[in-house]
Amino acid sequence: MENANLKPISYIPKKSPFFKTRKFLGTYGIGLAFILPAFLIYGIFQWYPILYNFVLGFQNYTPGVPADWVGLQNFERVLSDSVLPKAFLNTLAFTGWALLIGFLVPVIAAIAITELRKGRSFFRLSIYMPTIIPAISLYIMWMFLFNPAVGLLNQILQFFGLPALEWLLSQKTALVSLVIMSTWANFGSTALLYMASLSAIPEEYYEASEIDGAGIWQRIRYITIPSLLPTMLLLLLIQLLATMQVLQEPFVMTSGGPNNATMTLMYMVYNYAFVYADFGRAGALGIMLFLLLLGLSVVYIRVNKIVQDEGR
Amino acid sequence: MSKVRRVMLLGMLVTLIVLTVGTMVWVNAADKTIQLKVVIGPDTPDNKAQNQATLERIKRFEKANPGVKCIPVPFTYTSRQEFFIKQAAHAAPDVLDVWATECELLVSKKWIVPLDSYLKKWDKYDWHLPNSFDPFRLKGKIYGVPFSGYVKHVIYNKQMFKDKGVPEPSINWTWDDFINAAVKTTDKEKGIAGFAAMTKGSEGGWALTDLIYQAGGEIETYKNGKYSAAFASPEAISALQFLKDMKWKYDVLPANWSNGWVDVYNVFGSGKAAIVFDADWGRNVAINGQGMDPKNVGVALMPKGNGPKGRQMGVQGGRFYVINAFCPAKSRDAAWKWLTFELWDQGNITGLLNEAEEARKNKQYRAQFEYFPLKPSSPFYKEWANAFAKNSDVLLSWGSEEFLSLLPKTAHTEPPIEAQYVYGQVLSPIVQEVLSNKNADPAKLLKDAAAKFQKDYLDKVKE
Repeated sequence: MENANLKPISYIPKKSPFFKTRKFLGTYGIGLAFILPAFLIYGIFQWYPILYNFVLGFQNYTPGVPADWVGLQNFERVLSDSVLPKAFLNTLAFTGWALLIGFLVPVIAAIAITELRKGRSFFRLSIYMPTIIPAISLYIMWMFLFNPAVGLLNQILQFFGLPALEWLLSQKTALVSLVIMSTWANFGSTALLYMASLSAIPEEYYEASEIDGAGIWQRIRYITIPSLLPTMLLLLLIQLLATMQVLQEPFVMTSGGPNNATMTLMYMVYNYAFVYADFGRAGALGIMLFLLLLGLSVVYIRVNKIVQDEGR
Repeated sequence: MSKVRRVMLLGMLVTLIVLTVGTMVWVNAADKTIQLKVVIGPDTPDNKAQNQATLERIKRFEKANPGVKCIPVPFTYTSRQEFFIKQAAHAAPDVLDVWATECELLVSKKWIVPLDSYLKKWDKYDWHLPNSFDPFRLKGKIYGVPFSGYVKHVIYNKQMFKDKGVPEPSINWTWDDFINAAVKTTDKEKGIAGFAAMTKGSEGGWALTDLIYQAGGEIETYKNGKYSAAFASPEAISALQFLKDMKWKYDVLPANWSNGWVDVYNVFGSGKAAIVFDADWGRNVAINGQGMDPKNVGVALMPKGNGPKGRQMGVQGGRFYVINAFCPAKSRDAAWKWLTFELWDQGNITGLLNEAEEARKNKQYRAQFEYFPLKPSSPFYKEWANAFAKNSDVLLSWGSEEFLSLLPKTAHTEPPIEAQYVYGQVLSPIVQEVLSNKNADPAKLLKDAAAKFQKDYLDKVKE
C-alpha cells in the first residue's frame, strides 16, 4: 500500500536510484533524527571507548605519544600481578553476597509492600529514599555508621548485648559491610521495578484465588512469584553484570583495604590506568573482565532457557 | 559581458586577493607569536585571590616578553588522573608543578625535558640548597626546579600535653619518649588517641617510611648501577613492629584507625588526637577547617628510632616546576622564562602579602609551614622572613631557632624508583595488615613484599 506521507517525493520516478532511500527517509527520517543525538553520544562516549579498549589491551600506550604494539605482554603482566587472585575472589564474593542479599531483599520488600492494605505509598517512598541520596554523601554517612567507636551499628549491637564489630577495619567484615551498604542504597529502585511488574498482574487472579480459599502464602507462591519470574530473571542478570564491576564503594570507603580485602577487578583497572599510567594493562584486564561477563551472561541465558523449556 | 558584470567580477577578484593576502599576513604574524599554556587554579571561591595574582603575573610577563602570549589552563597536580587525560589531548600546561615523587614516572614516559642547559645560566641556581634538586635528578640530568618543600615533623596539641601533665617533646626525643607521651595523652573513654597515623591509601605507605627512616632503614638503595629493595632490613622490621605495637600493645591509635591525609588532620583539629606527623599543609585543615587555636599547635622534630642505627628523620618532599615535553621546541625558552619569572623575587612577596590580606578578610590564617629549598643566606630568604614578621597576625610560623636549624638535618628524600607504587601498593597493604591482624608477622610481610618488588620492578630498571 502506498504511504500517504510520501506525496512530496511522488515526482521521483520509481526507477530512480534514490527512490528507495527517499522512501525510507520519508517513513523513518523523523524517528531516526530523534535517535541520532543519543546514538552519537553513546557512540562517542560508550561504544568507541569499549571498542578502543580491545586495541589498547595489545598496546603500550602513553597518553599523547603514539602507541606501540606489544602482543600479549599486557595480559601476561596482568596475570602475574599478585593482587589479581585476591581481587578476583573479592569481586566474586561481592557479587555472591550482593546477589544473595541484594536480589532477595527487593523481591521480598516489593511483595510485602504490595500485600499491604494500608501505608503502601509511605513504604514505597521510604524504600526509594536512599536512591536519591548523592553517592558520596551516602558513603560518608555509612562510614560514620560503621565507625567502631561511635557508629550507630555498634551501638545497636551493644544495646542487644552483642559484641561490637570492626566493620570496614577488619579483613573479615569489610567486604560484607560494603555489600550491606550497597544493598541498602540500591534495593529501593530494584523493588520499584518489581512493584511495577506486580501491578501488571491481573487483579482477577487474586480475586479468583481468594474465592477458592487461597491464603496469602498460596497467593504469593502460585500467582505472584510465577508472574514475577521473567522480571526476576532479567534483573538477576543486570545485577550480576553491575556488581561484578563494583568500584565506587571500595574506592571511596576503604581505598581497597584493609590489605586489599576490598580490592576488586575494576579497582585494579582504575589503578593501572589512572594511578600508574599503565593503560595497556588496564585495557588487558578490561578485556578479560568483559570476556568473563560475556561468558557468565551466555551461561546464564542458556541455563535460563533450559529451565524455562523444562518448565513447559 | 556587460560593463556592470565586468566591474562586479573585478571587484570580487580584488576582494579575494585582499582577503587571501590579509589572511596570510595574519597567519604569519600569529605564527611568530609564541603561545604558552600556563597553570591557573580552578575557578573556585578559594582560589579567587591566587588566580587574580596569576592573571596579573601573566600581564607583567607578557609585557616583559613581547611576542609571548600566555593561555591560562585551569589545572592542579593533585591527582595524576587529570594530568594523564590532559596529556592525551596535548592540553596540559607547558610549565607545571608536580610532586617530588614524580620524576621517574614523568621521565620514563618522556613527558618532561631536562633543564641543565637553562640551570647553568640561571643566576639564582646557587641560591638553592645543594640537595634540593635531588628528587628531580635522574641519570645525571636535572628535570625540575624546587619551589616549595617540606621535611616531615611532629605536630602536637599543647593543651592536651599540659592537661595530662606530659612534658613537651625535647629537641632530641626518642621513640620511648614519643610512645610515653602518646600513652599518657590517650583517653579512650573520650575517644582521644595519643597518636593518629595515616594508614589509608598511599598515605599509609608514605607514613610508614618515616618510621623506617627513623629506625635507620631505607626503602631503596643504589649500588654498582643497581637498585635494591631495602625495606626488609631489621631496621624496617622494627619500624613496622613499632607501628603494630601502637595498636595492639599500647593502644594509642584512634578506634577508627583507617585514616587518610585529610582525616588525620580533622581528627587532630577536632581534639581527638594529641600527636600527628605533618609535612606543611596538614595543620591548615586543623586550624582553618576545624577551628583549632594555632597557639595550641606545637612542633617537634621526629623522634629518634630505637636500635643502634636510630636517627631523627622524616620524609623530605615538596613540589617542583617542570617543562612539559609537548611544549613546542620554539616555545621552550619562553617556558623557562615563565618558570623563573618572579621566582624568588618581589612577585613572591607580593603574592604572600595578598594571601595575608585575603586571610585577614576571611578571618582565617595562612597556616603553612615554610621550608624553602634556599640557603638561609640567599637575599630572598631575608625578605620573606621580614614579610612574615610584619604580618604575624595571619601568617603563621612555627619552631624555635634550634628546631629550624636542625630540621634540614632530619630530611630524607623519597624513594627514587616507583615511589607512589611503593607507598600505595607495597607498603600500605602491609600497614593495614598489621593493624587489622594481631597475629601478622612484620618480618615475613616485609621480606615477601621486598622480594616481589625487587623482581617485578627494580630488576627491570635500566641505567
